[in-house]
Amino acid sequence: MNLDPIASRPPADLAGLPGREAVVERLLDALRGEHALIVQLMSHGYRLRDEDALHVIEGISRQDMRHFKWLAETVVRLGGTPTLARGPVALEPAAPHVWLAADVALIETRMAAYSELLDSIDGLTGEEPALEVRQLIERILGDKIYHREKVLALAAAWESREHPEPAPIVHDEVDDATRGFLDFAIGHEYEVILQYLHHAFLLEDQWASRVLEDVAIEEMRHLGWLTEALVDRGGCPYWEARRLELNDDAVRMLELDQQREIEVEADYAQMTAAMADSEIRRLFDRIGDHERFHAGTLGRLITRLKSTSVASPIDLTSEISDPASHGTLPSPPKSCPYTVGSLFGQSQS
Amino acid sequence: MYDFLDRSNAPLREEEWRQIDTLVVEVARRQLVGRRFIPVFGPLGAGTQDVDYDVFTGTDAAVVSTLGESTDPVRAKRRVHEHMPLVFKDFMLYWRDLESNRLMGTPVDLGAAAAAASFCAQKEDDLIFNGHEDLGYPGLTTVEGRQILQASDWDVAGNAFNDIVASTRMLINEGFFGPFALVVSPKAFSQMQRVYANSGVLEINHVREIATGGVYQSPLLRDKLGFVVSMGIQNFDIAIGQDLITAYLGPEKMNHPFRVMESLVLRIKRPGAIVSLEQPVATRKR
Repeated sequence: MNLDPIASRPPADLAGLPGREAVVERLLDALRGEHALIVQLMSHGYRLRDEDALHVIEGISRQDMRHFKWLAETVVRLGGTPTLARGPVALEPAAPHVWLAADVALIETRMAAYSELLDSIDGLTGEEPALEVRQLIERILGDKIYHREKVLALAAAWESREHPEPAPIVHDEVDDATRGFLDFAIGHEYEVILQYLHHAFLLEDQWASRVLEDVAIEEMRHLGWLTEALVDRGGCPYWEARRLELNDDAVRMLELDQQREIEVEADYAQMTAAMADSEIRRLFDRIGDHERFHAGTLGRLITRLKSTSVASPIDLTSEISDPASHGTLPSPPKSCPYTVGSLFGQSQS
Repeated sequence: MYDFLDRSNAPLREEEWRQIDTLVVEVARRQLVGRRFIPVFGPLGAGTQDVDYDVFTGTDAAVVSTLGESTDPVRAKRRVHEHMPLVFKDFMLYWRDLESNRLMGTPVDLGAAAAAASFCAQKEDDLIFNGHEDLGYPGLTTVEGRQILQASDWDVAGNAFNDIVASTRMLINEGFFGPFALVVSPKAFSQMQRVYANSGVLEINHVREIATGGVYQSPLLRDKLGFVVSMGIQNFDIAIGQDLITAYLGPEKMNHPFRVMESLVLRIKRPGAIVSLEQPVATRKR
């Protein structure tokens, strides 16, 4: 197995699709849309603070994550590179019915985009790759129609409530330091989910890809726990990726991933020591344990890949890749990851 | 990219920069009031010097019509092209202190950075609440077109609550619905900390049920009692170019000046969404 940067990708077995570039462009747009859907729906789901509603929204988002995965894999098979950019999302504080209406609108936007994509593939007759892509899009469009109905039903049920406001905050006000820790951790978990998934899509070694995807799924659980903890304390979660370290080389990408696990375990330990909220402390301890396990898992993957190939030399001095080149948000200066940002909805201590 | 912060030339280690950044952000987050009830637009980037926004008119309700022919759209009364001013405060780290820190292995005292951040946070809220007359920036309590309520004497129990209710009524009558936020002077805030009538509940708790967007106090209201606003980006927001950050200014007589700075402007799109609570004449400072 050759793991040089180019051959570390899975084979582009659908590259024979006529009009490939145009289809890839549409699929990249679909990826941005699925990404936005996941973030918007999940963010609203957590902020509704209602277990039943969250259950419905989580179900939809899990399916959207599978859509995201299938689309990204298809992009790679067509010879393209998946994007981690995100379409526009509506995350402003608002009443629940406004959030749900925005969710329906976003699903409808995606439905229209998928219909257009199907029309464009219609022109490519008699080709096996076209049929495969078409079936995938039809499947996703079918899911979207079903999701729209689910969210509409949720919105109707919500509006008929006696008190159509989110449930009251569970805990007392969170102190600024703990909120800062949670903000940091939420940002980190969101970033590594994107980073690991991106690398998982590009890994030729399918076992390594599956393991990395599994780690990303664990990070999604962390993101959920942390977001719930913040929302329960009156906070407002913003899922924004500021630091993404992406690479095409199989060994290098895993090393970057492992480095993030090591760094964040140390960060979490430092934060835990300064934390007043015992529940959050336990949560960080638990996540820290997982990150340590992930670092070990990734270390074993690196050893495996190195032993089965003549990997390209590791450039430890290489610059962090520029997320802008991958279509993601521009990164702030590396030396200053902090910003005051919005304090909207936070009470005065 | 051009590093306008010039951090690489400062005699600070990465960990020390991290400490400064954390400190500056924490101090500001603790202190800032405006951003707690005003949505933030941006940050748009340090290079953004100007920002446009529309001042809206047309507060009529939406139209119900069979064919949708007659409309009264939300119209831009005027488009404002606003320059984003810088808010900044400098602080100094002295070379002898740094040398001493390096020699003894002790941490750098960053109290000056915290103080600079605190001054910037104060100035930001001052700009938002009072504007800057000389530079032509209106604030929430000075903008033309705001509604004004001559407040009653808040030393009398119940008057504060009644005034807040009257303010929200004024807003609703003009088509500005909740959530409402209330910002008052520290004195007015303390005046609400008493049991309301025979309810056994503090007056401020009754007020909080009206001002669901939050009740805040700020010493920057000068001689004003406070104000009530209808929250939302349709009414106002804060456009931020560069959020609060610290830059190195280069050595000066061997010492090291730094600047905590930000660029922002308050964009008041519907001044009628503000009710300014004016002090009773007898209690105004002379």
